Amino acid sequence: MATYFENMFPEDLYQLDNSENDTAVLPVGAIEQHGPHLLLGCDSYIALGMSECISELTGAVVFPLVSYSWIGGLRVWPGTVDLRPQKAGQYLEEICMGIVNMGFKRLVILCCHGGAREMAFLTASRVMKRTGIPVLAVFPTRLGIKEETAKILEKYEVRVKGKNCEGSLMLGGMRKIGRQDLVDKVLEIAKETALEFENSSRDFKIDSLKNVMKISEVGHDYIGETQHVFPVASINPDAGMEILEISAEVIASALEKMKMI
Amino acid sequence: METVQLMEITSRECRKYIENGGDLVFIPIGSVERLGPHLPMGARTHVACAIANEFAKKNNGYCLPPVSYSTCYNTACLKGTIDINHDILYDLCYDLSKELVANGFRRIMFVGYFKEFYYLISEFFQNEGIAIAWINPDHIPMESPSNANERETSLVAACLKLLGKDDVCERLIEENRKHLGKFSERKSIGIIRELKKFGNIGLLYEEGDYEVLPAKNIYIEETINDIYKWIDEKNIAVDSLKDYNYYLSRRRPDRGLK
Repeated sequence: MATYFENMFPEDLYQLDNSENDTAVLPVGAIEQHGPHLLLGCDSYIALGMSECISELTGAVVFPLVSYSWIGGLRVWPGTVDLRPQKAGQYLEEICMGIVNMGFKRLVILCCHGGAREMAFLTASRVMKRTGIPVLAVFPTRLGIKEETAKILEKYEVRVKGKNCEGSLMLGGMRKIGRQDLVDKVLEIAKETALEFENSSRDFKIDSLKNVMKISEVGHDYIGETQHVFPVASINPDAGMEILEISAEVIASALEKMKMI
Repeated sequence: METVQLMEITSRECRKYIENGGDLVFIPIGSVERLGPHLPMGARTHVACAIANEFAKKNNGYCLPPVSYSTCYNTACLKGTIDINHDILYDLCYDLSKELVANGFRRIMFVGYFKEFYYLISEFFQNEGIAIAWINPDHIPMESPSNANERETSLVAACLKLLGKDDVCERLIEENRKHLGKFSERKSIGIIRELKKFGNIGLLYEEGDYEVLPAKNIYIEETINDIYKWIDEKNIAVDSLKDYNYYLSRRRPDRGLK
């Protein structure tokens, strides 16, 4: 069973002090458009599901989700909530400092939102500079499980089209935290919208932008509804669960290695 | 509406809500804080979420996921508390408000204990011309509790029930029973509480001190009824925020220099 800090009582903290468990996981998500079919909390559900898997494997304490972040190009789509990057970064750093100051020796920032990736990486360096305690900032696509992921998607006949892995991961995350109602809802919407966009183009970038991007990251907005995530009917919660579990295993072994630092 | 949680809808569903005249959103501001030996670390997040959910359900609004880490004062030095610098939280809440306006929401209501909202809502009004509101759970009138410990403990327990967190609520009751009578307040804290009646005086708890001590009685059902009653009474305020913002959108403040 996963351990959630928000549901712990002061007495549990004393027990934690006397145990060998010194690991914390901080899930980071976002409120952001994810195509016409995925929920605004998509990244958050992935982060929550993966955190629960890590906690089950390692006994790590899961801290409350950080639900808001810098969004970038998707700010133009309804329901998206975008924070200024500097402020969001400062907020994340404060939270990590609080966790580290509490006595946790190993902290994983589990960042499942692309816009917060660099922010999470920077936070790891900043907290190290301030405390000397190593913090591991993780972004799921950097876990080195591309081949395993492809095999799982193939096994469940998830048609690989753009970032449909994200859809399956979100479903897996929701199932992991016991939200089958949301899984059912998304599968239905995915079926409808996959049909709606069946013959749509997926090229949204304007030429000038493409050219500038050859040399630099540059400010841009997502101009198409399916530019971020294209709807695919074959997204699958079982596939998502398996990928989440493999991801958690990789992170668990990284946590073991952290003991040697 | 199947859900009041913004996290649980798609971007299209959000647009549809706004296009159909929806404009109401609640933002729970909680904390990770060691408040009492018998209270969970996320007690104030649970309270803010429960109140926001109930308001949203009654008024056809949406709830944002909670801001779970915020500024703590009295408990800032206690192990288990995560204290966020007040300037950072202030800016974050300001950004959230601006984003919600950009999304078409006009009735924006924070639910929480962050005292800086007093100025934030004014600054936002002065800069953006839009009135946002703050609901402080401290203002819920509760009839049964006879002291602050009973009040706080009953409120947290009732909110856990409202959120369907029965297991955490049961643990609260058990921890309350276990710790009842085992803690007392240091003399200096009593003096500080006395002085606080004049206005405010800074207070920092030390190891062994608690903001809320275990309560002799916990009134769960009574408090749930108090919450429902209070929300029913306050629905007019939620409605009126729409009219007030409409009024603001039509007036032209000019410092008398026309």
